[in-house]
This record gives sequence, C-alpha cells and structure tokens, in this order.
Amino acid sequence: MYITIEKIARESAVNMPDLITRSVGRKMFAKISRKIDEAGENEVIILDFNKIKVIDPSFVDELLVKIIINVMESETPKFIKLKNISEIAEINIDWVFKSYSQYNENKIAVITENICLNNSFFIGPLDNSEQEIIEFLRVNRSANEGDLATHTGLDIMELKTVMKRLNELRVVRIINGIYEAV
Amino acid sequence: MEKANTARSEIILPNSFRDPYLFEDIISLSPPVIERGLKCDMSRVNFIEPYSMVSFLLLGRQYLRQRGEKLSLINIPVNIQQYLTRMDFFKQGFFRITEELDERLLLKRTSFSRRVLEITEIPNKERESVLVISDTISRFRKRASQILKFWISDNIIDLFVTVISELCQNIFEHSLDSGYLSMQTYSTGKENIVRLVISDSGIGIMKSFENSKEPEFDTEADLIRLAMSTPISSKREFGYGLCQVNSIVERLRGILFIRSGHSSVTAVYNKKGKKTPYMFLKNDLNIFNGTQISISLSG
Repeated sequence: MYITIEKIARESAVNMPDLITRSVGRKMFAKISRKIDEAGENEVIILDFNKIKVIDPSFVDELLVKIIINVMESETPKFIKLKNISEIAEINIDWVFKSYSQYNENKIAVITENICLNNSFFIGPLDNSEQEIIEFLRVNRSANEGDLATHTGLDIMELKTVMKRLNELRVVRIINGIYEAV
Repeated sequence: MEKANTARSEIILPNSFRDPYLFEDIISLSPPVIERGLKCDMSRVNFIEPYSMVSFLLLGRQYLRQRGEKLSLINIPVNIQQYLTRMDFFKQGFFRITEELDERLLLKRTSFSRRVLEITEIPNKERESVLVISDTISRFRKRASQILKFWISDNIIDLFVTVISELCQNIFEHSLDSGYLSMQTYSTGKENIVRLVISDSGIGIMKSFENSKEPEFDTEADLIRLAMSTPISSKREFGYGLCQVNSIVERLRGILFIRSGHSSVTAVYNKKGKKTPYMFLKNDLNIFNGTQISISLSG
C-alpha cells in the first residue's frame, strides 16, 4: 500500500510544507489509520513524505507513534516504511522514538526507504545486533535462521529471541518461517 | 525612582529593557505600579529587545486585568515609540500613550519587515491557536532568510519552525491563558543577535504540574530544568516539546532562558564544554505570572 502524505494533508486543508501540531496529527491519523486498516496480512505500507519539510514532535506523537503502536498491536501483522523523510523530520522522529523508548517499556522503531543520518535504513533505538540484522536483510531481502546466525554470531536460541522482538516491532517480516526485509 | 505628580504619581523606569536579566528590575517595580496605578515614565529607556518588550506587554495586560484601566506610558523617546509601534506593541490595547507619533515618523514596514516577526497573540483555545501557529510559521518562512541571515547552519529555518510550533502549542496546552510571540534580529556593537520570544501570563510551569504525581523536584528552577531535559508532561504520559526545543537550542549553540513564577533557568550552550558553568538556576525571584521563554543566537 502506498500513502502519499502530501495528498492526505491537502485533503485535510493543512498549510504546507509543514505538518505541525497535535491537532493536525490527530486529523491525519484518523484518515491514514482507516487506509492502513484495509492493508492485508504482512503487507508493507509506504508512507511517502515527499514535499513535507518539518513534522514536529507533537505531530509525530499523534500520527507516527500511534500508527506504529497500532500495527505493533494488530493481530494481522502489517509493516510501515517511511519514504522521503526530510532531515529535520528525521531528527524529530528520532527524538520522539528515543524518548518514548527511554521512558517506556515499549521500544518503537520504523524502517525507512532512504538512508538516514545514522547511516542506516531505520529510525529508532535499535541495538547493535538488531541493526546488523536489519542491514543484512535490507541487502539480501530474505534469510533463514542459519544465515542470520552465521552472520551475527548469535546462537539459534538468542537469534530466535531477537527475531521475535524485531517482528513484534514490525521492522522484520516472518513469512513461512523465512525472515524478510520490510 | 518615583516622583510626585499633582494628578497622579508616576515612576521613572530604569533603562533595563536590554536583556532578560536586566528586565528583572522592571518586574520588581510592577507591584507598586499596579497597586498604586502609577504612570510609567519611559524617558530613560534607550533600547528595548524583544523579550523585554513582550514581558512589558504582559505587565500591561496584568495591569489592565487588575485595575480595569490601561497602563499609562509617558515621555517615551521617539526611537522607542517608533520601535514599539512597528512591533504592534500598542495594537494589543493594554497601554495609554499621551502622544501619538506623527505618521511621517513611523517606521516603514517595507524597509524593516524582513528582520522581525511582530507581536502575535497565540490564543488559549486549540482550534484558534493552530490557525495562528500555522499563519505565523508561514510568515516566518517568508522572512526567515533575512531574520537568520547571519546564521549559516544546516536546517536552521526548519529547526526554528519546530521551536515555534512546539512552544506556541505549550501556551494553549498548559498555561490556561493566551500568550505572545515575537522575533527579531538586531545588533549590539559588533554582535548580531536573533531572539525569539514566546511568553504567556498563565498558570506557570509549577502550577501546571500541581496535580501530577511525577516528577520529583526540590525547587521551581529544578522543575524547569527537568522539563527541559526529560519528556515529562502535566497533561499526558509524555511531553516532547520543551525537551526537543532544548535539544535544538543546544544543537545551534544558542541560549535558552525560561522564566516561570519565582524562578528562571538559563542554558548558555555556546559555553558548554569550556570548563565553565553553562546552566544557571535562580529561585526566589519576584513573582511574574506565567512562563516566559527567550531563545537567542549570537553571531
């Protein structure tokens, strides 16, 4: 599924190019979450932020955090991927995700289409082994447990735990027992 | 300094409108001004920067609310009256001035507009406030290249958009009163300063946390510092705004000054890492209702 954020913003009569305030975030969340509900099992939903400059922490909290938590809690696994995020948007998303994860027991992260300031293709506080797995899957698209255990040096039990966590974070897909990139 | 006047007493205001610290002199004079209905003689004031201007505006509003009449300003030097008029200070309707400026002396908006954001009221209702914030940011984007022309930093305009948005939202979310925003680039000696001010005369940071279980703190200044560094919120589980604003000011190596109630915290990020203190906390200041925030960069 492909969602053009600019289009939704225009439909919501939002002044461009900035997506700011909780109120605008709530308004757009209502529209976007209805679309996401229609996505199928294991589907990747791309949120394209092309032409958007600033998204402020309040907007991130009302829109992205809620979308991520919804897909994490959804019984039907769905996956979010951000595209064309501006540098300032990434800074603000990263800030909110890190703060949320630091002061809450739930960690949150999201996969990105474009390379980020951390030289990776995700935003959020993932640890080193998690980062390594995300990068391996991005390059190879899919892998089995043996491939990943060899690459990371983790034993199979440790690897299973990490992969379960990454799947719950909706940053890795599991399809027919094979791990796939988002 | 106070002198007798046949009709009513007046007070000569000191030349203390140059920065947030000096403005404490004016705050300390506000109780007698309000209680006794004194006129303010501005003859000694030769410079006003945005923080002092907006804070003085809040004092004028407090005066009007408490006394039911406008605060009289007398003997305003022409350059000060020109500046205050240009910044829409008198348009807010809290002050009485004895002499209007001749139209020929008014500062032309076309020649000066690009370096300022005039005083803008941020309403305390979410719906109205969101519209004003959006308009203000559009205006800021149009003028940003002039306002920030001395500062070349990646994304500086977008960083200020985040700051303006978050601080303005705090007004209707937490203060229970409307507030004001203003921004200007000005020079003092060889130094160029850009200052963004967002202030209100609402309930203040301490009172907004009154019914919250968290956080724990010793003094009001400690609470302000905590709100700058931790995503605490009096309204929801987390509040990211002030924390992210603090982090942006640090990234820009600027100065963040927050005053609320009896306390203030100043973070001087261009001094951070120089083995000298860069965070200054003050308690037991004269009461000043609400929360007043100044962000400045020098270059």
